[in-house]
Amino acid sequence: MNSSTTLIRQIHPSFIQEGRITSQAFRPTPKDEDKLSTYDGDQIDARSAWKHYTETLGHASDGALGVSVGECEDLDLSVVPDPEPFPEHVLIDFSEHGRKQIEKRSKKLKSHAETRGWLFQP
Amino acid sequence: MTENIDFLSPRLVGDRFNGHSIPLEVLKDLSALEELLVEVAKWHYRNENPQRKRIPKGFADEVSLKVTEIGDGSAIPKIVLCVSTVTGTLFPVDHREYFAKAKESIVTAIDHAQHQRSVAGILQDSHLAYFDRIGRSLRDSEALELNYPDAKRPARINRATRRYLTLAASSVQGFTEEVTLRGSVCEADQRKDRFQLQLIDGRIIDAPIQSEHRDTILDAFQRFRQGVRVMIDGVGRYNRRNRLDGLESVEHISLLDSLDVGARLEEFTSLANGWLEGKGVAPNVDGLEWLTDQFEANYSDRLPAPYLYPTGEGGVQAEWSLDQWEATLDIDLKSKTAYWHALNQSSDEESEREIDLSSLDGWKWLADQLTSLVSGDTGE
Repeated sequence: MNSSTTLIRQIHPSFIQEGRITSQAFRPTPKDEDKLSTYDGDQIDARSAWKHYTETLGHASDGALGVSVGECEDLDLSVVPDPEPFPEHVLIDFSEHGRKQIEKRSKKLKSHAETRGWLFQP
Repeated sequence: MTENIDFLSPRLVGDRFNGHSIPLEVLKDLSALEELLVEVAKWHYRNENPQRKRIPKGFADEVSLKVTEIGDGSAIPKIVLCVSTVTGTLFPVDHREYFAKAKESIVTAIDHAQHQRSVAGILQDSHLAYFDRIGRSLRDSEALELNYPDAKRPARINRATRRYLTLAASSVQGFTEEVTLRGSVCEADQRKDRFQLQLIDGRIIDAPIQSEHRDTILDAFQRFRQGVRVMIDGVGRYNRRNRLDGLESVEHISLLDSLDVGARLEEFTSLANGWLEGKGVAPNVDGLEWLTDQFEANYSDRLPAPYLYPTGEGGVQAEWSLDQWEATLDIDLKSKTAYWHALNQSSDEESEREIDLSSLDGWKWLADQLTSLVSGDTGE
């Protein structure tokens, strides 16, 4: 994993309205200890990540967007491999930041992801 | 010549009736009450005069109920019994006696309904069917107290008592209620003048195509694939299990904006706990209804329509993309407060604030912020 590695993020169907994606898709929740779950794009492609997320984990996703490790680091967000749940699992760590900074960073990440476009849509 | 006798002074309770005014639609309820009173009065006459095969000619024609004034305070229509004093019959009937008994029977039945007691023998099945129309225009928090000012036995007609009374008739298959529904027109049959409305939760119900609404219904039907939705005010038909079976009539129908707040929030009612990666909390339905009402009352159509999303914590997030600005409002449905954050993607300028959405000031502040973002004037 390096700065150009794409981190793949699954998008819940309720996080899309009329084609517009909520910035929540890139904001961790307190329940997740302010860490956002993604897939390491160097280890798995977007289609396989979506299949794993929906079929193996049984979660809902309307597709996958992505941000790069470099984009996270530019926003002072550390990227940490977390292979315990599954080998390709990577966390974007927001825990060093307060609410306002988390909001700003989630909006920025969403913008990067939208510029990149959908990596996979079923 | 007619004689006016003070007969009823029911009290209408609810915000709509403040300032002692009565919406016209509620007069339909009072009209149905008059029909019931006549029928029950006839029944008492028959019971006390079993030797008579028929009700005296003109029994009902010689009597009518009229609203003569609306009392101060809450809306209290003063209803008089107008009895014709020129009967032209050899054996005039004292209507007052039978109408007084009819009133007493109806008050007793409603009182029993309020306490979930049987109404068997107090009124007949055919009488109970009238409660499908009496009080149908009343909303959730409204009531018609028929026996006002008797506080011990007010005979309160509300959604619960009228439903109880309607369903107490063994022959009745269900009841009707005024409803506001949102959905898509997925089928339209012009030969039968019927259409099918797919509700937001996926259920499909049948409804009539009335000529005054034909163009709107067919327009919505043609654009079904584009996701066009309608909002309908009408009379819904429910079965005994309280399930909406269809629409009896449509009073108003209008095409909805693709970002209609009510329709979008209604979508969230189908979310269950665990909806987001097994951990998402389902938004509270009452909270969603509260938010719908708040947007309707306090959010101007002139402001940009919000995009709305459920949050993993059981709230709702409203969002706006306005030129370079990305604004979000994270709404807590329990506390009725919200966290505002706006970011200018070019300049990194930011603003944040906690606002109280249970107060008009909170909504006004939101409107001012959005207006300033739209106009480019971001000074707070």
